Amino acid sequence: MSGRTAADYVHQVLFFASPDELLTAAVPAVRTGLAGGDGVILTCRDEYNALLADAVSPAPRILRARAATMYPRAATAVEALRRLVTRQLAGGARRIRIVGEASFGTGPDGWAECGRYEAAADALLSAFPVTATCVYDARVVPASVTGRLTEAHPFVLTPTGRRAPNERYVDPAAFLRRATATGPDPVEQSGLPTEFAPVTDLREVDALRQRLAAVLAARGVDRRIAADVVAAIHEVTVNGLMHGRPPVRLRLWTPPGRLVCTVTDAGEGFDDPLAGYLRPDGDPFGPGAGLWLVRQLCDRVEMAQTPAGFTVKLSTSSIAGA
Amino acid sequence: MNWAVTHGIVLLVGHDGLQSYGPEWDGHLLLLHGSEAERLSSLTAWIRRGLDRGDKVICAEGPRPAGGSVLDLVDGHGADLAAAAVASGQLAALPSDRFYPQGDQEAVVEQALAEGFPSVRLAADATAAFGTQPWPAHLDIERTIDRLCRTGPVSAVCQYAHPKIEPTMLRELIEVHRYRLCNAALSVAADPRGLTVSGEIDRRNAEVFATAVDSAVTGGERVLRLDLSGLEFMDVAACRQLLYATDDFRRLGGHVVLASPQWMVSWTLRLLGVDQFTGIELAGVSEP
Repeated sequence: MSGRTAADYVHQVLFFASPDELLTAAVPAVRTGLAGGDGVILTCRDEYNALLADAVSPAPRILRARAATMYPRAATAVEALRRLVTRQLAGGARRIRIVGEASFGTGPDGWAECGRYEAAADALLSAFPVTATCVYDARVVPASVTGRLTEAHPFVLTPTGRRAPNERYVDPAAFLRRATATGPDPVEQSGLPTEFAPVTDLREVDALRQRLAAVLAARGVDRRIAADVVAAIHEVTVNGLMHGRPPVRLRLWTPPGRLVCTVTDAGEGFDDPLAGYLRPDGDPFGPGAGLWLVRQLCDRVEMAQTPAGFTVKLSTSSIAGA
Repeated sequence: MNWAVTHGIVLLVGHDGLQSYGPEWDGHLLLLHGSEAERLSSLTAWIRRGLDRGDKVICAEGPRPAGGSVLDLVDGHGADLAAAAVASGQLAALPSDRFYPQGDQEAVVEQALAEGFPSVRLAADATAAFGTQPWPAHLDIERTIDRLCRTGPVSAVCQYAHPKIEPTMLRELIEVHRYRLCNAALSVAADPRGLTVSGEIDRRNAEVFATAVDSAVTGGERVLRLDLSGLEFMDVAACRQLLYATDDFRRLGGHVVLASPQWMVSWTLRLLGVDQFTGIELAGVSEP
């Protein structure tokens, strides 16, 4: 996303130690914004959404989204946020005030995904007139994670409500490049993959889809998850043929509860850590739309140049509703 | 299940209403194939169906190496069906240069009917004839075949190598094949309300699909209904082409109804926000 306009855009992080601190720091600016015709979006846990809404009510221009359903994976959360923002702007709001409490789970993977979300959201929101306050309960966030999350925000909001530029801010591309350099998945080193015949032509992609669907069905993968994976691998394979260099090779691992796939073409690939997190500018179906869809369909998407070529690694839960 | 759906054939139609010569009529089909294997695969089923029905089946092909004719591959059941049909005169090969000269098509049909067959089935490899005459003359022949299919007991499948067809030519071919267009993965059928789409649409055939849709929305109707109940897969390229092909139509107030999509197709359409575009309606969505 280009066209960052710092004067219009504020993305800040607040670590609070109590609900009172949350209200003290976040509410005044929201209240001021509402008085001036701004729209408000709340995406915290239900309890905090209610606290914040009560503190500024009555206010007709508040949209609430439940954190429990807003944050299944970073890319889908960014898209949900984009839709909320554009909906508020279409409704006539001149500026949007967001208070969000991202939550992707409290394990290491969940916090890592949270960081990726913050970086991608930073890139998304930079194109909109927003003040986004990302709130985290300091009693829950591990100390080792606090610094990383802070780096994704250009500003820091103190519990007393004072905003300050963040000297440790890392731009989204740099943040994501660092956050996704994770190396091989353990299953790649310990498990034997299912190998599929290399694809060299667009005319072979439908056969690949059919073979993949058959393998997933034979392994009892939930139908909806299998369909998502087939659609995602289709897009990556087509990208490899169209923009990379054939042959395109697919490998699949199905350890308990997960699906891991690598799609490797013989080309040199590209280096854009933000690729697929944001819908393409201008034409939403323009270049980049395929990878955007892939990120909507799979939990994790990593891209890297490997000895075998340019590899896109997809991983996702194989448990329905996970 | 009809032949088109079984073998992943696509179709197209004009807006002047469909005509058919009875319930078993298979129409005037445009088969766009990406390879010789694809062509033969589609044709053998179509020919077998004609033999089963008692049609006279005439295959017009260009020169091919020994064993490379569709006649050599018709029989997939173990019995020597093709040889028997050739021996009885029901199945015949005809060099392209004897089928494609202007006016010869009517004579071919008349002769077959005069032999006592109730109906005639023509399989014409148009690619072979394609460069031997000016494009307008070639289109005239296609119009003649179309008229024969509409006015007599005749079905025809005209085969074109897809990579050799320019976009403007594709549009003209679609318009002259007013009943069906066939492709290896996709099947579109027509009814008075719009098109019925079956099979799969992806990067490979999305432009063909778009041309069919574009042709359908220029007929003056205000609503185009696409029955997607038989569509099993649609990728980003297909969604893009759907939107591009209907852009002007929708901008002028036209309405596109995407009816009864299977859940995976509807999931893709919704995820990509196709249903959020002005003039697009998603109707009759099923759940997994």
